[in-house]
Amino acid sequence: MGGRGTFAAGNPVPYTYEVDTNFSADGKYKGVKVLKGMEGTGKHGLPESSHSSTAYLKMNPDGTFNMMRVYDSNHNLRLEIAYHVEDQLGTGKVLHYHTYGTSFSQLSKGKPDRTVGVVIHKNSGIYKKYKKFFKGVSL
Amino acid sequence: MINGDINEFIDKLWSGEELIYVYNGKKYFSQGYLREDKVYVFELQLWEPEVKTLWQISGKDNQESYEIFLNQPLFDGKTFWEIEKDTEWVDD
Repeated sequence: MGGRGTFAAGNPVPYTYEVDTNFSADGKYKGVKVLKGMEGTGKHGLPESSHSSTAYLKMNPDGTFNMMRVYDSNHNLRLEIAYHVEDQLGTGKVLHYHTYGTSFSQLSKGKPDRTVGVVIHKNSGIYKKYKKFFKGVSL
Repeated sequence: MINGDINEFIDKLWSGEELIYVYNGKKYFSQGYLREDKVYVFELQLWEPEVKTLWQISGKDNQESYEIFLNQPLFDGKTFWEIEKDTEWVDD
């Protein structure tokens, strides 16, 4: 279980996501690719490792921010920012992040390493760095 | 599984990724993570009709947590495998 092949591990992995052009002709928002699972693939969320980009966005159908994943130069997932309800983090939708160890994208090398969710505040470095992507997010 | 690949879903469940799914009109959310003290936690939250944590396990690794979760009657008295065919994987 969990032995998914990943691009980060140097495996040839076919694209199962496609650029979401519902929001812009080039499929980007503020310069970052917006992805969605390809029809019939059963894919949700964003990929566990990147192909050519260092970040991907997932938008809600109304064009507001849903999730962003940031990858390192070896295609490993390292940061996930999401905006949704989460009991224990607050009331209503909460902007928060999780960090990932490099083993997450290369599970053959170790166990999943995903940290507990941390609420993002307006004065945090993460907010200042990525706030241009948080369309429709209220803190 | 409706609107999703069950193998992909299980893979994400095992590795602790966030999953949102609907069964019998109720929306569920599950995830796993390492606390600051490096203890692994796996939890199931109910999102609709109300938000609350339904079940949580800590102190086991992701494999054990996953196996225990799958054997709990957490979904209207049924286990995940008993509801899997009638469960829809959703994005939000």
